[in-house]
Amino acid sequence: MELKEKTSVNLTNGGHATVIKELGRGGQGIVYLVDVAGKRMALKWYLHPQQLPQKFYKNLEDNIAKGAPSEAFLWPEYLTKKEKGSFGYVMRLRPQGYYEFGHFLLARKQFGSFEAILNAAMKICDGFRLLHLHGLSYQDLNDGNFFIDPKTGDVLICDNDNVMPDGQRSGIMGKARYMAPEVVAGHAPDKYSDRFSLSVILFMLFYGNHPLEGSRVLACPCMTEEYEKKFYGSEAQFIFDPKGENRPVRGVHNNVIRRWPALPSILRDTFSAQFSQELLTTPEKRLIENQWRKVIQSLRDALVICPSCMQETFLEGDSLKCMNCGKAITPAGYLDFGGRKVALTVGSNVYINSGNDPDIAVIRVADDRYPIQLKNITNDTWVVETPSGKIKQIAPQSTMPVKPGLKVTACGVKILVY
Amino acid sequence: MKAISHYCRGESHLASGKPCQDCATAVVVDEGCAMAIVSDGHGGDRYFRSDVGSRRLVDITQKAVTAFAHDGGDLEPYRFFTSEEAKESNDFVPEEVNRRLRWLFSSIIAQWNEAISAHAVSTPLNEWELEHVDQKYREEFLKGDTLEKIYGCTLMCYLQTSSFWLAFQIGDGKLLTLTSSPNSPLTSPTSPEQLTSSPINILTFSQPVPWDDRCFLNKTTSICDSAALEEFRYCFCNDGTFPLAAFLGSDGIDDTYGDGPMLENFYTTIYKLIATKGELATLRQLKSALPLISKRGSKDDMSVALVYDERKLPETLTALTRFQLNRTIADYDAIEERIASLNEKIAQLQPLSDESSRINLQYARRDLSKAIIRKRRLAGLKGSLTAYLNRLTKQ
Amino acid sequence: MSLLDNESIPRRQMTLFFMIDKSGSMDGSKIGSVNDAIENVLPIIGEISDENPDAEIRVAALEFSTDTRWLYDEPKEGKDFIWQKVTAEGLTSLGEACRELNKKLSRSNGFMSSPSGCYAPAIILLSDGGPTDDFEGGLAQLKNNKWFKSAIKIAIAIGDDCDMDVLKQFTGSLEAVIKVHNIDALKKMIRIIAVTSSQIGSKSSSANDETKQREVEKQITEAAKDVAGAESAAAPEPAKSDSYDEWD
Repeated sequence: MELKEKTSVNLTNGGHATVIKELGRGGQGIVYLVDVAGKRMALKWYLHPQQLPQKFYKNLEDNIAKGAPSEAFLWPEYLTKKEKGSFGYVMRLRPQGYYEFGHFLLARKQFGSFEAILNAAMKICDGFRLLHLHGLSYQDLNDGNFFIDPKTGDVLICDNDNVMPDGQRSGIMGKARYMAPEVVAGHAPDKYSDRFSLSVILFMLFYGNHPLEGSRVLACPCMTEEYEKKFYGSEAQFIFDPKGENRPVRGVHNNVIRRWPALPSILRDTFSAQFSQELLTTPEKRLIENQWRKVIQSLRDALVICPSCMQETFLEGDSLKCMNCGKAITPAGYLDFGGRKVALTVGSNVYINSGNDPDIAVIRVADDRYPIQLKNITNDTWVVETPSGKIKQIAPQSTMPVKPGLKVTACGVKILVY
Repeated sequence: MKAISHYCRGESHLASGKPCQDCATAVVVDEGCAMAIVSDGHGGDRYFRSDVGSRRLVDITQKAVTAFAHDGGDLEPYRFFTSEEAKESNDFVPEEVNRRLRWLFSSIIAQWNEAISAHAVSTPLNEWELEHVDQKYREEFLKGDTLEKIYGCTLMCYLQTSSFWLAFQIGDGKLLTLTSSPNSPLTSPTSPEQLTSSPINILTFSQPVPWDDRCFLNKTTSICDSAALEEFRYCFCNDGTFPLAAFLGSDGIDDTYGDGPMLENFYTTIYKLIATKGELATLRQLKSALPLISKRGSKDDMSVALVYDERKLPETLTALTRFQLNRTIADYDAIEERIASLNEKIAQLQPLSDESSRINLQYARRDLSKAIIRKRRLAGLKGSLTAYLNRLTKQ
Repeated sequence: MSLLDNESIPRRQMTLFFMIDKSGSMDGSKIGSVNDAIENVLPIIGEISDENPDAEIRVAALEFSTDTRWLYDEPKEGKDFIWQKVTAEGLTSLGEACRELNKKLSRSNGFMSSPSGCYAPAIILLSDGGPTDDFEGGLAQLKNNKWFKSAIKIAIAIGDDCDMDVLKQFTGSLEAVIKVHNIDALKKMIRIIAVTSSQIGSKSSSANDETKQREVEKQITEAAKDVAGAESAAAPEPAKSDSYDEWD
């Protein structure tokens, strides 16, 4: 039953939502712009409630009571009463400038930078971490669940009506491409299968192609259910598996063919492990979200702006060459975070913690004795100890030189400049 | 549905000893399902096995498209859309169909890669290749990293089933459909049922697959490009309307006839041949005529493949003859106008005022005599088409 | 009814463009030689066209000084082309000439027809000086033109005052610029370049446009070696033994 403009539906909390107009529709239902007590919000209204599992309504009610794991989730906030032949839930409106992840995969939208891609990756990991921390799991994860701002990499996670307590079955079948092999085979989704889906999403975010879709899978011109069971389930094989029977295809998987050798080895190693035959069949060994966050953090630490071509590149090990122009890069200095090492070039940002806001900007200060400086772009004052033992304070928006021997305390972290 | 095809080696290839690098096929799967496929192997020295590449590609496409006809396209909502529209996020484009089509194209590329690798392994450089192929390309072959270039070719395909039709293409060559115009004021349909049953009246030739501007002069996109998948263009339609026929021709054909009225006239002749003389006689004609057309025209390899609805042959024949007659009348009127304006110009230029007007007069007279010859020819054509149409409508 | 009794199959088309600098400095023997040379080469191009089963060659000419002017408002067959003597005066608006050429290298309101059945055009630029207008702007427009990108492009630099860098930018390489130092060399090179470009440009071959450009460059560079007072601009400067220059 579709809703007409100006129709009012009753909410379980006693309020009501009045339909302003339709915003979009999908297989399950329609999303309307609604007014709830003077506030503009979105109402997802199910078109075929009879096809939904019994416990669906109750589960929505529970999730609303629990509240969103973080602000990244477009979480159900109010539930409608069962009326007008169906029901629905109310959530925040999706702001302008965010696009479905699927559009990035079809090259309809492009990320502004690697920094944005890393931000998106971090935000997705964080969303999953908090979801699992709440004892929930996602169940039906796919490229339509994430809306991303191409400039900043900020992510909104939507379609949260399928989120269930870990280990329970929502009864909604997701897309096989994003499911863990054991779920394709018929097991109930849980946080381990979510972790597999997370790896798939991250792989596609970084490399632009699917980790299991190579030559062997593409031998079939039409993907039938039977083939899906095989290629995403019982016979899943990573496109860079040492067996080499399912390699990326020239002319099709252009993105991953170019990026696989170009991006840092930590990414190759991590994905090779996550999609190894062993981990495809041993869900408990899959990387937890916190470990993923460390991987992304070390990628961030390796990301610099090449002083020659001003493009982003990753610095890895001793080979300090730009992946775009091929020229050697000499960093202006390094920061040591006690284990983490970050190279400094003008234009690069440094992230001290795993948040999505940079903390240090490396800038050029023309005509200064120290032409390359660190700008405090946090909201806190830093404390710097000079080699001779002097103590200086660096207020937000102030700068300090890149000078070996300086010891900085920022955001509770001790950093050595060298 | 019915389908026929023919391809032949071009005049310039005969001269240089190169094989025919075109390949084409036409297949009737069952009563409601038929397809036509054309592939044109690149001619440059680097692409010395493009004849094998195009043959493999036609085979692979035929199998893949047959599978797609069974499992791939019968999907709601009922739409007509192209790859151009699918490039943007667009509510009008059904994502599921777009996804399945991209999968089909990906599969064709993947299988072709495998096929040419297998061929390269099983078929070492032969004597002719050792003698004629430039050393740097032989080395490229032996290295084996970029085999796809050596076998590189284009692809064009039309598929019609009882529930949808699909046309897709990578590279050059022209794909035309002949449709009964739904916008005709006399037969404006109100429902798909009425549309299919409405009389064939006003005919239109169109090129439904979006053109790719990267195909220009002798440059073309290709199955061997690294971003081949993104270069596939298509047009998908399951709104219940179908073309009366679809014509596929490699660039040897459109380099001969251009991509306008002459090309349409060429396919009109083929269609009329089928309608009046039957398929076999048409094939015989194609076999004898294509090499001669290559010789007089582009000199290139020539492929023609078409799919047509045999149930509508008689009425389409009449409509097509009317279409030709109308075009001839329009051309005749235009040439009369030109003759009038040239006569006027000649009168104005006299008496001669200077050197430039002398030259212009010379040109105007030359153009006038050409125009008069053309007018005579068009008058003859007009007469014979009118007579033919009268015979058809009396029957 | 037969597939062969359609209208006669037209030959493919190749258009040869002359761009002629008729600024004041060209006055006298230079412009006279250009007129003479082109007038004489046109029948030869007509012959090449007639004997060429692959393509029909059409000719278009643009003259530029302070203003620009097309000799005719459409390209003409080589053998039909009646040359109108060009007289020299005014400035060198090469930028404007580029804009004008850009307009005509097009299907809509231009000289080109459908790319199906066409060969890339050949463009021959003759100049003796440097542009006096916004050349960069005009060339930038032209460089986005697909026909121009595919075209065979050759320039003839007349005398020592010619801005070689401009001609190099126009053709895309120094190899495609021929320097001539006297009237006789100018006439000979116009003929050689027009003939070579027409022959190679109208040839059906699987070679791509770039190789056609290289082939023309190679042949005219070779030919220039046999013409006293002409050389490829890419060739090393000849030793200056004789300072005689009839354009002094």
